[in-house]
Amino acid sequence: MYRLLGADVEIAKQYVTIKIMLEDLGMDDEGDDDPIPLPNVNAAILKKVIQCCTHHKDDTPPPEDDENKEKQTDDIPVWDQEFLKVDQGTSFELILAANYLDIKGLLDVTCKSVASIVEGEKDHPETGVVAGVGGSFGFKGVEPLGAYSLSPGTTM
Amino acid sequence: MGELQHSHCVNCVSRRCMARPEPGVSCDLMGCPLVCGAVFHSCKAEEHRLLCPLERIPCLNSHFGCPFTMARNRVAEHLEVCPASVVCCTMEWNRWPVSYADRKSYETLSREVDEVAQLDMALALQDQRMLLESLKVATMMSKATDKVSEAREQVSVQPSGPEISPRANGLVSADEESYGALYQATVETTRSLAAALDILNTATKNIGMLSLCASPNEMNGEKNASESLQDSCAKDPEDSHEEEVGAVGGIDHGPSSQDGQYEPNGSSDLLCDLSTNAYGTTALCNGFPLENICAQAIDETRNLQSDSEESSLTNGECVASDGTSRASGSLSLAAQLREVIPPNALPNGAVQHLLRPRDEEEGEPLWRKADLGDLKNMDILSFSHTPSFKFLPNSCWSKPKEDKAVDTSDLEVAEDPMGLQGIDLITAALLFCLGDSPGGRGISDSRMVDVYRVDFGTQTFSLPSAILATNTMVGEIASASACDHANPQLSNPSPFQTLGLDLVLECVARYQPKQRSMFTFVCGQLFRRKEFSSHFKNVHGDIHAGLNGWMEQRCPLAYYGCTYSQRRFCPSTQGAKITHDRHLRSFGVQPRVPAVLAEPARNCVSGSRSDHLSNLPFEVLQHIAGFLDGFSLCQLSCVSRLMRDMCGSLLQSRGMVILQWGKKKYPEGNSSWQVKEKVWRFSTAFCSVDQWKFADILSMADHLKKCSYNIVEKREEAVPLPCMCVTRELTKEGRSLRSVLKPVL
Repeated sequence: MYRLLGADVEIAKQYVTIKIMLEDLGMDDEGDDDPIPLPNVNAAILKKVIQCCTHHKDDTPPPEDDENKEKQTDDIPVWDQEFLKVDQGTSFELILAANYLDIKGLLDVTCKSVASIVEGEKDHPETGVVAGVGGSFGFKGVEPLGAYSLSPGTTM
Repeated sequence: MGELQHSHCVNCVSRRCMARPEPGVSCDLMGCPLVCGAVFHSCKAEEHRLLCPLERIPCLNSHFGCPFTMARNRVAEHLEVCPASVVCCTMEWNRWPVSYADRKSYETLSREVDEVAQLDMALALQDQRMLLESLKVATMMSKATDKVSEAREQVSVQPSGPEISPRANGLVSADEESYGALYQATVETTRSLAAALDILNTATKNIGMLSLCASPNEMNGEKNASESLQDSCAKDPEDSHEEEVGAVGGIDHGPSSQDGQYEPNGSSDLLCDLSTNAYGTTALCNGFPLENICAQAIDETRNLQSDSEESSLTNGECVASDGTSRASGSLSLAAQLREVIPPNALPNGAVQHLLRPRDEEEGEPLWRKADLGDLKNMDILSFSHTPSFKFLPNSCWSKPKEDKAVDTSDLEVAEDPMGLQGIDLITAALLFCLGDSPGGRGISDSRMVDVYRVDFGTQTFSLPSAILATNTMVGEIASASACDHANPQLSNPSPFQTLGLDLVLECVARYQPKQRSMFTFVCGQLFRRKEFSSHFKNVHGDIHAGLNGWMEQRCPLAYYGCTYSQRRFCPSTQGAKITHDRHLRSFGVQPRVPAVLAEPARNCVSGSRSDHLSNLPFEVLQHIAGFLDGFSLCQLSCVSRLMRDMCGSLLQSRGMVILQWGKKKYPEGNSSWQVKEKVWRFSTAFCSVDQWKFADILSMADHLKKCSYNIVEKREEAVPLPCMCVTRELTKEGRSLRSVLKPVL
């Protein structure tokens, strides 16, 4: 259980999940010392999350996702690149934590990082090795199954 | 349009109409239910829906597969990203075939090619694969075309019956377990192939050949068609006709094939034990003169005449029944015929090899060779299919035959005493393409050998049985994709790895006339409308334009065999590089993966199962995939079922829908094209590269210092200039320059 103290509370309010918790549980008042349960996040990962959010606390809120806008993986800020130089397990834990805490900025940057790994593993397209997906799934030499056939009238 | 509009309301558009509502005359004003701001008479509500900007309507491309509905005022915005708004890239580029003089260097270049790293080679091999896959060999006889196609259709739906099973028993059965699911259709394919070849024989019967009376039930391991062929060959002393032949091994046999006695793989030519040999798989000797093999050919012929031994066919090998067998010699019979047939040389000395339309009245095909180097200067190369399988009016065909599986690879000879290479499949296929033959090239061709017609294999090359996984005839057997699929499982390397097309990319405008010998390739890839501009710019404008030594710089000694090349440009994104995916037939951008993150992934390559990615929630996977381009999504969808499903969920937003058309035949006999299904797929577009930068590479001079092909000749004495070597260059005193000029030490 990680105890948010002082400024951590303000930063924690960036986490939509915690913010909602605080509002719903009436724990918004200053001086309230009750711990906030975060069962899906361990202390080490939460510490990393707080570190990232502390750095980005003054950033403008990210815009809403525009599906028409082309998303790229090569626009990760330098500080975030250094921040994400962790082992693969930690990287995925950060993704899960960002998803659970609903921190859009952190989720975007961690997903971009994993997406760049997926793109970078093009050296092994035939063996199906993608970002830690272990081993071959028997797709050696098979042509891409890019076509999804649907009967007329079927909607995705 | 619902209720009829009132006489007043029809012409009234006032927002402040004060007309009193009167039945049959006028009605009350109302606002748009969707609050678009419009005010109209209530009887016009239905009419307003036809133009209300907030009315939800299906996309304009709904009939083309777009499933989206949106407010009318969002249609224009949606059309930019509509999945049904698909653009087909019609960019063309051209290539020359490799000239004979360059063939050796191209073989060396192709030997250890790294398609991923060398983009020019990757694109050239891709073009070659597409070219070979496009070969469609129809029946050899135009008359038999319909019959063959009907028969193939019938055969394809017929269950294994007595007509097919005997052949199937003798077919080379692919080890499905070894080849995996990819070759599950091998048996069916071989059946259909054998049936098709059988139909060919049946069809040729209609042109007046004598039928054979071989019984389909007479099958044993002792006697087969080979002995009959051999006997027939023995009666043909010499051929007096002017022709060269390819691999030899077959003798025409008649409608025994109608009874199912036909050898699969078109390998009737393999049955001929002309010299108790299994003949080589060589057909064309591109530019190789055959004069030097004539002597051997004559010897072979004489051996045939004296050889009256029965022969048994065992797995395609012709061996003497007494167990002895001589080593086969490639082109042996071709050589024998060649002795009789003087080469028809071009004025430049090269042997020209052309196929002329078969004159059926003569019954003699003309088969000459062509030097590919001359093809560039030729306007027309007329290739024409030649009918095959003229049947021998020989009662020997009544002898019982045995249906045996024959693999033409058995014709491949271990040694080539004359130093001739075997058939160059690439060249053969490219020649075929150049010829633009309306018909097809069959597996064998008929030749007149002493009055009798002898079938000689024209495309007797190594045919790994796995190639039969493709449901094709001869031309399609040359399909590169089949061999490429077979390549991992086969011991022999794919014959299509050797590049037969020029590495240099040409761009001749569509409206400009091109020489027949120049191949034209079309991109033909489909993209979403918004992706097309970046595709055209990056792929055709940047990459294709830079492959001729600009982006991909090759060693100057590449002609001599050096395969070194380096990439001079790369995307401006840190560490990114351009790659080529042979399955997607497209280029892509591969970013540099941080070492820390890459190593755990590569550990997984070795086998440790830490599948972090698959354990993420589905919506998170979707979020990750949202950052990938179409090229990456195509590859990711191949990784696992989970990834495929996840990518499938993104099809509407990231993919495109293409109509698959099918021909529907009606009972009345007419037919029409209808949409069979709508196929969703991702395009091969990659993230746009807006800027390029010079790659951090060494100069080519650094490579030349250690290039193994850079043989430095150090001269210790002066070398006279050419002008100094002739005595006509005299000084005023009448002395030669050479005697006057002294070497500079």
